[in-house]
Amino acid sequence: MGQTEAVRPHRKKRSLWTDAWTRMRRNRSAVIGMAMFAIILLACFLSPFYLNYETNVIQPDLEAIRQLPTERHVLGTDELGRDILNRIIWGGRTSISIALAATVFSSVLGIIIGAVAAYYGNVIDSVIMRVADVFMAIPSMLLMITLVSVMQPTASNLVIAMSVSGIPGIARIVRGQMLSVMRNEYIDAVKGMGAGSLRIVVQHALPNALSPLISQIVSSVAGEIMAISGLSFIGIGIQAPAPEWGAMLAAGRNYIRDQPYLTTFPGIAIVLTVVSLTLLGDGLRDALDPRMKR
Amino acid sequence: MIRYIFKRLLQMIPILIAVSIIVFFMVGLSPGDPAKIALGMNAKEETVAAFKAEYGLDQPLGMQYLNYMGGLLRGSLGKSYTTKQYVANMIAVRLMATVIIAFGSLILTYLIAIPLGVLLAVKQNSWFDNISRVLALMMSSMPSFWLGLLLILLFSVKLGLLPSNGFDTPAHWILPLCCSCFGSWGGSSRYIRNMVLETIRQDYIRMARAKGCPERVVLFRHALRNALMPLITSIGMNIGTFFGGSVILEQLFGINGMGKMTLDALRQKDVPTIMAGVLISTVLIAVGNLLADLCYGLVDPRIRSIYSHPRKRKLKKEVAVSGAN
Repeated sequence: MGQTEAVRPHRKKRSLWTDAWTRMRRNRSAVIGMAMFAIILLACFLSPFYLNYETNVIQPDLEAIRQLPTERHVLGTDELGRDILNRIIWGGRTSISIALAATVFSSVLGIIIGAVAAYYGNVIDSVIMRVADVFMAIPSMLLMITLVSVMQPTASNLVIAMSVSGIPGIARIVRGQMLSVMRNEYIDAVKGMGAGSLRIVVQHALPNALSPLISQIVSSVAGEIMAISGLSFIGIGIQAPAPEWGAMLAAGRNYIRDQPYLTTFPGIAIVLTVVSLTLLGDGLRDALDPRMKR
Repeated sequence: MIRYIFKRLLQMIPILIAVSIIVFFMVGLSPGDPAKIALGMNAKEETVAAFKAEYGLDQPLGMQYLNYMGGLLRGSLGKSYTTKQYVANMIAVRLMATVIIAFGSLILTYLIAIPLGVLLAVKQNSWFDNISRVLALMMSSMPSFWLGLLLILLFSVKLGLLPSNGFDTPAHWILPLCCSCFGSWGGSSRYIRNMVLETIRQDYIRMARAKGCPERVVLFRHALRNALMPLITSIGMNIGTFFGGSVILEQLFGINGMGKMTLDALRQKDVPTIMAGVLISTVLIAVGNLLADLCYGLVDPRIRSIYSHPRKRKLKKEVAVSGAN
């Protein structure tokens, strides 16, 4: 290593990540997705600084029920006179945090479980994969609904339910990737040099197995957001009076005949968030694995 | 072939047993007394005790599970705690709606997505292709229940063309099926387009053209058929999604289906009904996956030949390896 650096002292070090970042910046739709998601994230996560949960988000105002958009309420008010824009922003904060937390949990656990299965093989592998088969045999929405109903519908239980239904899929992908990476000669070389199993897996095998997974993880945040709003729509997700996009749609449904905007804006919020995450995920896929580019 | 189907069906049994154990104990160990939920909070001690004795709820949970599985082996799905009906009868009324939504959307998705995907591949980089890219993104980003609300608003409320509640006539089926398919029309047609574009660059396609095959034959016989292989894998995954989506759509369109039944049962800790809902969905998805895998045989003659000659183990392995790559 020292030698190469002596030969090319001024060459900037280029890693997979800097390369990917350069490619990503050139991809217009990925940049749009990134910008959209950044705006949504900022608006939602800075909301405690400019919104008061008690007075701006959940306090009913019975004199301003189901108003059309006005200067005071840019997106109108809901069936209890609460500002729809404020509720969308606050609800987005809840949905996105739950989705991110569930994705982080299921990815970390899925990666660990998948890596263990692939590295140790034999009995451990078959036991882990059979358990994964069982969880994947139940439709994930039904599994989530069962888990949430069995526990109480709180934010942390939603994260648990969504992580549990996400882990087997990720573990299976990681295992497949790891198995093909472990066949490479450089792994044998590292083994020959006497590296321990933790070092082989964490430092040499996993980084090469993960890059195809990263874009999938980003896109799965979009899927989780749809899932939370779906659960809240059927009444077992975030509970009233706390706002959530799916729950807002369910509440606005009763007034769809006369006040369709109650169900329009929360839906648009979901679509914009999901679109931004999908663009970002696709951009990452193209940037990290240019062979996949279509 | 029959041997293969039989083997696959046998493999389902341990998975189903594991699913039944997980769901039964998860629901059983959760807080709340099913007897009190079914009889109401003000029920007398004696009534609760009689109810528990009638349904075997006075026994330990492990024994309850064994009793349930014993009943299942004798072909009995048990009796619902809340409706007091036989679960089998409840399912008989509701199964059709869910099957129509789940498998109907599966068929409808590919009926439209396959020709559309081929068309998009043929018209690669035209304005039609570019618009479809944006449209597909929007379509697959729309939650089915929001689309459902918009469709109800347009077709039921404004135009008064289609009913928005119930599932009695085929006219009732249109909106739920469209909601269920909409997202996958966008996603799947793009996927099929990409698959066709990948195969269309292969040498055998050039060969077919050089032989003088009409473009239609090249596309549908040579390109599409090979592009369909990875598609079948995605069909297997979609079955589960459509089943899960059905739970939400049944709620939205007031459809009396399995999803709604399971959801209501979960709220009331009605164990026999929950178990039936989960287990039957699992079986249906597994059978759907099996059917999808059998389609490999329809599309790929190599696979067909393996199952007609069970001794050709070696070839089977080769195909499995090339399939895994």
